[in-house]
Amino acid sequence: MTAIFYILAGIMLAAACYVAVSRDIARAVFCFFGVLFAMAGLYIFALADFVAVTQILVYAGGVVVLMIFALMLTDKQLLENIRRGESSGPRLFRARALPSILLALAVFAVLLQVITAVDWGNMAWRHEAVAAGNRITGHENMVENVGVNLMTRYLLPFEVISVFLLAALIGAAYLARGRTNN
Amino acid sequence: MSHFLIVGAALFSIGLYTVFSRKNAILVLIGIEFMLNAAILNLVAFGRYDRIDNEGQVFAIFAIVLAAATVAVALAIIINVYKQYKTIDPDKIKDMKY
Repeated sequence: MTAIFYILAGIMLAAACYVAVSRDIARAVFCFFGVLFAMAGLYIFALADFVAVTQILVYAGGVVVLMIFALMLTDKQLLENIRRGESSGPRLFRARALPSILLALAVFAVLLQVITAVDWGNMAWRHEAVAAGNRITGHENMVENVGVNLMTRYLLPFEVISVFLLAALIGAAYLARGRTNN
Repeated sequence: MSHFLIVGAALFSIGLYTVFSRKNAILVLIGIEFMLNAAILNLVAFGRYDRIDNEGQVFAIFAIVLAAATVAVALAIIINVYKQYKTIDPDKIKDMKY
């Protein structure tokens, strides 16, 4: 089981690195698709199956398609490189990317420091959750529980976010419409 | 537990690098999505210890919806910028008003 976790994490991080360094934008977007699928797998390993399905539906089904459409509308040379079969491999190191590499590594070092400094096995809330039987073991029907919680305990955020989503989509449609000359 | 957090931290750093180094607004947006996904992975990893209330998982779903709304609006803005400037390189877009 843990081997599959590491394989998924490796696929995810490799695809993310390819997105970060690739010169071919179309391939980068398809690798983004792969990252999102591997992320859904990792969510399943965290025993959050409903979140994983939502991730595939919303991200892989909606966001990636939107991105490909926007790419086709903005970048005329998008598919030319693939069609010509040009070798446009990623350039791993560019001098002007050095500050961003340093910044990303510094942030990663700080995060890693925090993660390794904390003793996650002995946190008080963790012992409380395990003692109260509040830990997900993988044998429960979590989708039902999430659905009931969404409609009772988290009803206000749910309604707020639905109105917000409607407003955002109307705003996006308004922004993206053709400008009428009158 | 810490494995999820390390993977999330690595993805966050890659997203940060993507945001700062790419010269295409859509790839910058993808970098932001990486960072959001890293945050969602942390929410889900901690949500494992909340079987009754599901706080982590429910707010992970809300974060996914927020990210989708962000992408829709941001792509509409990018398309408008392209119509105006014929480029979506963030370094070449100098003035905001037109």
